Amino acid sequence: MLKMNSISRIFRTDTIQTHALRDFNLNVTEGEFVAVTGPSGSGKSTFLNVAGLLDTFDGGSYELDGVNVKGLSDDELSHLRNEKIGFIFQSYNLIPDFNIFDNVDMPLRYRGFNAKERKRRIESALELVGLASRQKYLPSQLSGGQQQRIAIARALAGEPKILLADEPTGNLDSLMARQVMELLHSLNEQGSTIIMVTHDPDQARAIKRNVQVIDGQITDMSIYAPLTSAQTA
Amino acid sequence: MEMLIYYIKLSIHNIKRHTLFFTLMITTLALGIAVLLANLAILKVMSSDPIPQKSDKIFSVNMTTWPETKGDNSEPLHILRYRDAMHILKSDIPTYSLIHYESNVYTRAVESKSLSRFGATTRATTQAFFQLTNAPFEYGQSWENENAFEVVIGADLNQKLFGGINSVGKNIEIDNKLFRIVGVLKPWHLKPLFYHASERRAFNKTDDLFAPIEVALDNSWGIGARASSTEMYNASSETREKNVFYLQAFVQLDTQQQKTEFQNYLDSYSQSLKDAGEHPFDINNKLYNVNEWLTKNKVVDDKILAFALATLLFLAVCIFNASSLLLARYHSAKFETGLRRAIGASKKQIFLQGSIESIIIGTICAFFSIVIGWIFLKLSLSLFPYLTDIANFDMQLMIMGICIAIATSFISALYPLIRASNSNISSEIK
Ligand SMILES: Nc1ncnc2c1ncn2[C@@H]1O[C@H](COP(=O)(O)OP(=O)(O)OP(=O)(O)O)[C@@H](O)[C@H]1O
Ligand SMILES: [Mg+2]
Repeated sequence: MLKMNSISRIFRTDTIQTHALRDFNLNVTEGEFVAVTGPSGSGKSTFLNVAGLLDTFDGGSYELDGVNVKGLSDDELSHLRNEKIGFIFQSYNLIPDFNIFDNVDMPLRYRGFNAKERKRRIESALELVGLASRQKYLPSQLSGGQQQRIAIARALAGEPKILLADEPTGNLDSLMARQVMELLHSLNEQGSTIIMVTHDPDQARAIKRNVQVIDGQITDMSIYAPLTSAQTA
Repeated sequence: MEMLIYYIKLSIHNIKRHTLFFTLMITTLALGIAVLLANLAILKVMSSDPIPQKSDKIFSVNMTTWPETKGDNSEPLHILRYRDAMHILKSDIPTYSLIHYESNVYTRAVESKSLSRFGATTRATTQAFFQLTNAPFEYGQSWENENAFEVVIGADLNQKLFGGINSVGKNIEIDNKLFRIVGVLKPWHLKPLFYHASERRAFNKTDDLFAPIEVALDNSWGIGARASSTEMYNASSETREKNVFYLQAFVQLDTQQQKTEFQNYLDSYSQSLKDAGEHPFDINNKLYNVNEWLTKNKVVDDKILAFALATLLFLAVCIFNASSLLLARYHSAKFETGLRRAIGASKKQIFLQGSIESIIIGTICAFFSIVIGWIFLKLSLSLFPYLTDIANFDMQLMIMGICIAIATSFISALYPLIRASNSNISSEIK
């Protein structure tokens, strides 16, 4: 599903070069749930941005769902992003003056679905996150946890191959965070492939596969049973 | 199609969301365009071709005949003596040739019960005048005999004298003489008035009355425009034999060969005058076609040309302003742009949406530009009173205004849009 081979990503400013990713290797297969942990500044977000085609990389190869993304045009990358990837951000990133329906509608618009198909998908995505009754609400009229679930609905509506989440519960209190995690787990059980960056060891522990990023490299790719992973993390 | 509707929806949403900002931007652009449009409206009448079918075949005749050695005589004169003019008429090289002078008479319809007279600007001319200028006849035609007491009248005068009916065959009285009407013209808007573009008369109306020049002279109708003379004269009837320069001549030369032959004809005439000791100058006869003639007479005012340049600069400043306003707005909308990119909008789509938005703004802008521009035009016409009746916003200008508005709006949006659609996605959203 996602194959990264020896990826490197270097940020250059006038004075310094930061090797945000170096010799980065990762292979994620369909249906997996991967937790990405690591110290701050280690390159987790950079990895997720490269994986989600939001950012380019400088070396190595990356294959997403069988497509080698190196050298694709902006149109092709945008299309891949739209079709295969669902993003969940730490700060939800809903458009404040669009109602819930229009927020979830956004990615579908760029996909070119007709009105009927879009409505069907929006409703079933909202159903899935348990907020079907809030279509006409504005984001500000919902709690943080609900807003994040809307963001998840937006990511799901396009029926992507893979969900990428960068600290999706970072802005939530523990109760709401738990609801969101339960939602992600149930989505995974229904077949979604998910990669999630988290700082919370408890969350990581509950996830089948853990990888750790240190200094731009994956240093630990072993698959632990939930309990043992808790001890090493 | 669906996408287009979505872009339009988003644009309208955006415009509503930032009313104050867009009001500011639209006002900025509309002011710039309005000033330009007002200026173009004036420029357009000033620079239009009055007789496009044959403006390159009609020539004003300018000759070296002036007998005095005083003053600057390097330029040939466009006003001619009677005998010079007769020499021109005598030639059968031109397809048509006319001579004329401007006069003013008072007239009334003979059958009218009222004794009050109407002032009529008058063109004393020859019958080829009507063919050469393509004068539009409503009724009748030109006189055939240059010594007949026959006239052609314009639509306005026909309205005043006869209430606009077919007045051919009716008599009018001028200075106690009877003249029979043989032709009535349709309303005739000749802008600029190429056959009398000198003495700043290019935006005068076409004449009320046209009469055979021989009859006008026999009856000593006054000379109403520039006349220069080296001899005293008391009445226009005396000008036939004297050195009085006041007649203008126009010829229609359809081919290059005609033009060359006629030029030679004029030159040998001037040479013969020189040989006879009438003037000492090098022969420098000129034939200016209509547009050259209008240019030479500075029909397009220098003031207005300088003003046009200033309005263009002003518009550039407005575009620059609108552009920096937009840059700021796109900067504050970075998050939304980044988000749209992240969920699958391509650069092209972002650019397209912004373009649609700018076109919608341009359309709104067009409306205000035309309204404000029209007000500007009315105000600036106080500077050019002789254009008051003719400078206006016609269809062509309004369409042009709409195009300019949309184009300027798009140009202002271009740089901010390129910046926005190319911004780094990952740094905009967290
Ligand atoms: N656009 C950028 N320009 C320059 N350097 C960058 C840029 N983005 C990230 N970096 C650098 O790359 C390194 C990795 O950053 P990244 O955001 O991936 O870390 P992270 O693991 O997500 O950290 P955190 O846990 O704090 O979110 C950091 O040293 C960061 O300063
Ligand atoms: Mg991060």
